[in-house]
Amino acid sequence: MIGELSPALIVIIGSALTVFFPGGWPRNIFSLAVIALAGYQLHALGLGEYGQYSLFGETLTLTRIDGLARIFAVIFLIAMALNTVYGWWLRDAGQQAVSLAYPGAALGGVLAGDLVTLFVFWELAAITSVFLIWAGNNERSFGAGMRYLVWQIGSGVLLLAGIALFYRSTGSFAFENFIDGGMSLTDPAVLCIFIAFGIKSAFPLLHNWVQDAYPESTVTGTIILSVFTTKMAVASIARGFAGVEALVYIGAVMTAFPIFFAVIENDLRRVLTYSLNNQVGFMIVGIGIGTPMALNGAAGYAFCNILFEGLLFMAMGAVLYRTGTIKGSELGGLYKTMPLTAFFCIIGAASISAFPLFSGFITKGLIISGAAEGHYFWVWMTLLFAAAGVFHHSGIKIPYFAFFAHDSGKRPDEAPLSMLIAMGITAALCVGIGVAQIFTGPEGDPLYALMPFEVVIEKSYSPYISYTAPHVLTQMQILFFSGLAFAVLQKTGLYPPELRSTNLDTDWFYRVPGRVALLGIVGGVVALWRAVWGVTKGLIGGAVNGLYHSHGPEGRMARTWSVGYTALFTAIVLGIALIAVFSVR
Amino acid sequence: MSDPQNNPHDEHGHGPRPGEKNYWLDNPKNVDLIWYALAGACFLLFVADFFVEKHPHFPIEEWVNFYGFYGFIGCVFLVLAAAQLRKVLMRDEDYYERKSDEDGKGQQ
Repeated sequence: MIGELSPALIVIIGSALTVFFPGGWPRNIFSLAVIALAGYQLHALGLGEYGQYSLFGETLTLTRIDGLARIFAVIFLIAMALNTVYGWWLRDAGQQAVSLAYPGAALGGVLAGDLVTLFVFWELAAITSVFLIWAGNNERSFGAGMRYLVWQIGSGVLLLAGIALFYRSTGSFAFENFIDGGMSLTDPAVLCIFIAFGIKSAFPLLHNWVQDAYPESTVTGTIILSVFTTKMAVASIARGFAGVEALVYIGAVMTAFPIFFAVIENDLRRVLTYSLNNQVGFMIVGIGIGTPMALNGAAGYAFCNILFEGLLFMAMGAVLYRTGTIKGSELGGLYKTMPLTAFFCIIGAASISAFPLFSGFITKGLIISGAAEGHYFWVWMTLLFAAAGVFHHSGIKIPYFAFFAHDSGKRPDEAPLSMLIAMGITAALCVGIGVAQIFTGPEGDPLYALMPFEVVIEKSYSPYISYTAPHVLTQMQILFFSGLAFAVLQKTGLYPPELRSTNLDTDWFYRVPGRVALLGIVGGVVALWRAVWGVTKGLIGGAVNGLYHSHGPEGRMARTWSVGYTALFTAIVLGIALIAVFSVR
Repeated sequence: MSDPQNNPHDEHGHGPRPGEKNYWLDNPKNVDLIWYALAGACFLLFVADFFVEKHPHFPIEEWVNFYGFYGFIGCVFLVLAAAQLRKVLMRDEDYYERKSDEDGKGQQ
């Protein structure tokens, strides 16, 4: 019926059609039907390449479904459906259309079979997603959206430049592993693409657009944003740069430094954006290690992260929706009237912290073990520190300051039913993935079946076997002692209180000195233009005045000449002409 | 659906309201109970370390309760370092708005 139509195009076309449905259940049901149709198409197509088209004499591939693309496509579709349920109460045709178009574009990115197709969806994701930030509908969100757009388009332009250079040197738009293809990371083409991917996955120092923009979006917008852009970039890096050692160190830095910011941040959704950086860092390390197990860990962790990070964002969205604030300093004690939201938030927190029986536990170990097996001692130490830190800021801080801590006196209603259903399903998935292995054994683990590489279990203590005594024990030790540290610091008053504040990050450079420099440059250009215009006006005005002076009605040339003077002037002109003619011949 | 802006807020005073149901965590003794349970769990995990055979990649993993101590020290370091970071990085909530207002005035 729909032939080889890309699942991504189904979602994107569907998103445009949502505006024809009245807000409320008809539009929501239609959105879910579109997502289901895309899921059906993904399944019906199966592994392979579809939708070939021709451009510049090259054959391009709209849809490539392989192991790597499939796991991301599946979780993207699940996330789209959960977000639709979560935002059931929304009556905003524009925001709802973009809430489907942007994930559709990201889906197109992970399914792209070549670099040109990737670029098209890369840019489409950038442009559609900014409307979710602007949906915040205030001056802050407008400014943040503009800055976000600069980063996103910057990434797109770098990608385009990289693709052009890559085509010039190889004559191909193939999107495979660049390094295995014989190119070096220092090759300008490869470097441009690497940095373009690095911006979207928020490498250290290129990260701050996430914290700047995401928390300025709406209740539902932030949840959607948190899922797609960075994970599309992770999938692209896994495809293009698996095994690049630099990624191990970049990822390790990514896991560690955002957690310091997360501890002192007051906006709890912004805390989660720092956590998002840290989480993507784990995936980047896995990709850098590049063994099948580490890559499976990275893809599997992305799958689980989209669920548990999404669940945490959903819980914070519910708090924002019900109380009108998401500042840790204003919240606390909400468990009394929002017990279900608190419960789901704790499940998300346990999952992101990789507690046994929750989804993070199944996949994070693959990455950390990958680092150990690759003998990256300091990276391994950093990952352990970051894992403890995740528990600290996402696992404890988020639920603690929102739902417990000091009683803020706020007594909001429980989250709306649609939010509770979405959070309930997400929580069930987090637990389901976490415990599946106990029932199916590692060989039958459904998440392992989705992983890009075959899961090979060679020894009795393979990292793929999650529930071994040492794995459970060491993980419990790190988590409980981290929890003890939090309790001790709270008891002793050493824990920094939640304060209404802004913390400077790399955006300061372009928002303060950069802004001053830009205003200076604009002022300079204006002054230069005025000066050039003044001088030009003076010169032209002088020339015109001179001509007017000599040729105008009162000018010398306009005077009536005597016959003798005319004859003399004619003779001079003829004489000059005669000399000129003779000298030319 | 309710408008978040119109939700009833208790702007005065924190803590439980008079006549309100007393929740389990409102009793400080119960909070202490959680404390002791956590400390007890840590002790049990420490003891368990002697009985579980591990498969270390690095010699440091063979230290008794390495993961526990590392997690504890790591978190204390994280929080204390972040508190210092605050001294350098923390500004008022409307820092960027004020900055752009100042620039706006400078332009006029």
